[in-house]
Amino acid sequence: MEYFHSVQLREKFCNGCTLCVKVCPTEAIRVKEKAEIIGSRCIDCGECIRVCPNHAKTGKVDSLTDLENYKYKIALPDPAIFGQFGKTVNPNKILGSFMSLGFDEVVDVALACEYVSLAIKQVLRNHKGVPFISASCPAVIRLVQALYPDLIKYLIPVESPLEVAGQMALDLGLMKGYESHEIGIFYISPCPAKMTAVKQPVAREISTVNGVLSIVDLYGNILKFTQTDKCKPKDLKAKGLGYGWARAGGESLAISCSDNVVIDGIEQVNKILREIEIGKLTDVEYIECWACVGGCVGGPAVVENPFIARVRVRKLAESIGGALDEQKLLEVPPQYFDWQTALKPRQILKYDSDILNAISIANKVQEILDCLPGFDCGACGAPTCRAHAEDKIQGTTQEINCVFQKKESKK
Amino acid sequence: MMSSETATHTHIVKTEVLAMHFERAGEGSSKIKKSLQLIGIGPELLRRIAIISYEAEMNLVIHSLGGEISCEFYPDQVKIIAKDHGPGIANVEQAMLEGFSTATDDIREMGFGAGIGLPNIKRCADYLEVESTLGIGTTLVATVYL
Ligand code: SF4
Ligand code: SF4
Repeated sequence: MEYFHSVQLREKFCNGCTLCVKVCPTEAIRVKEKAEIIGSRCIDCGECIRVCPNHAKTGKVDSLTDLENYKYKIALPDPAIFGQFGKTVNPNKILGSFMSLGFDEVVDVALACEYVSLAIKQVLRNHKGVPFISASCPAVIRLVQALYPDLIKYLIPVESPLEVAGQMALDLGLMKGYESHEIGIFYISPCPAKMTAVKQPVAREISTVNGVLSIVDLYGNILKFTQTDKCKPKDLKAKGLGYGWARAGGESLAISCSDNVVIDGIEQVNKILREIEIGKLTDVEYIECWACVGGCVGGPAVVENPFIARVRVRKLAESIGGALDEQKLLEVPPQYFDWQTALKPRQILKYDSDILNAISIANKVQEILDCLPGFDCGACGAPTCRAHAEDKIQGTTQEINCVFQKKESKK
Repeated sequence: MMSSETATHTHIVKTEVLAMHFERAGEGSSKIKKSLQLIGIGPELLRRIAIISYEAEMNLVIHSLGGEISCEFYPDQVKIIAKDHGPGIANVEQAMLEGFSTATDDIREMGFGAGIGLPNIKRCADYLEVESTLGIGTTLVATVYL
């Protein structure tokens, strides 16, 4: 299977420094002259985007010109957008600005977050035993598929706000009398992971969302429009808890689960998944995980500092307040929350499908490894000495390229 | 060292484990898990072996004077071997029982050594051998069939 991933290298900016190589949680990057991403391994966590001093990595998203392909265009702004602008920008105007950007309608994703919270609550109510892991951050889902395949069954099987909002938007367009191919639904995203979630959904064949635009790309225009009178404010329709989803901890608050842990940042998520895998951490009910520090307010495709954005979202959520009413769940068809396909493991590290071959490759790798210093310095362009040895055995690199190499490999 | 004869059919991953060094506890089993993935062991088996190696490593850290944890891969099975240099277990059968712990009070207060280690390993392994001599050491061999 071909895996889509959205994070790309802009070659002309890359100077081959190898900084990104070490931060990638799935060892997906190699630097030869320039960085290369191994597509089947990339989970779009965005760590390499954040660390690159030359801004050579970027998330490939759609552009505003793609709106032209549709008659009726709907924007789905991620709640993280409300953390991006200071006091002088009215949140109602942020929503309104999408009309100025060329959209015909806006569906506030915070509303979908409310529905999803209620749906999760329902699942948790009838659940006993091992804790569920939240399944809203697509980068976390892909990390589980790739490195913790046996934990797939712990991911809570409730569709993400992105898809639920997409279905709400589609309904809206159809209700207005448009045909589905005339309706263009665009997610306004804080990250490349959500782009990938649209292009290659994990729990369904096709996404209802048609395109993804990034917050960072639209930031300047939104800022400008919100300062003009032509931009009409639009009511924020969700409760505070819906907007709170933009920051780590917001999901647990909204599902009113107090027996939970919240983990943000891919490195920490990686660690906690490992603990769960070996049977620890059974004494909580829910594990909320986000690839980005701070949650989606810390996404790689936003502008504002995540800590500032986080406080803003919290303040907004608190000022709106309100409680979630279970009756509200009746407003949307229950199948909106269903996973349509099963999540599959993604064995990205495997040497060979034949175990004998795999064992013999492991031994050849070990032989080379015995001749390398084990510094894992990254200077060769691979994240670890082991990865470099693997590349050599698997033929993706021709030469052992170690600056410290002690002695020649015997074979 | 493995002979070149068997080298193509077995693969061995080894890590030294230091007694009471909690800051490095888990490194051996991490290495083992990585090789399980590289060799392509499926999710369910991977988890069972990961639990065995982690518990066995923790046993070494908490109860032993230090030792070594290793994983041997064969085409049809995986063996986790934990070998220490003492102090040895007086009553192996008893140690296998749920809730029985030889951890000192200090360690129990740290939240480890609740006595779930060996029974947990037994549950996950297809075959378990523990040999111990007081004053000499313990060798644990847990086998999982692929
Ligand atoms: S986005 Fe994440 S997984 Fe993909 S190459 Fe960058 S660091 Fe690796
Ligand atoms: S935490 Fe949010 S912004 Fe970051 S990758 Fe996950 S979904 Fe995207």
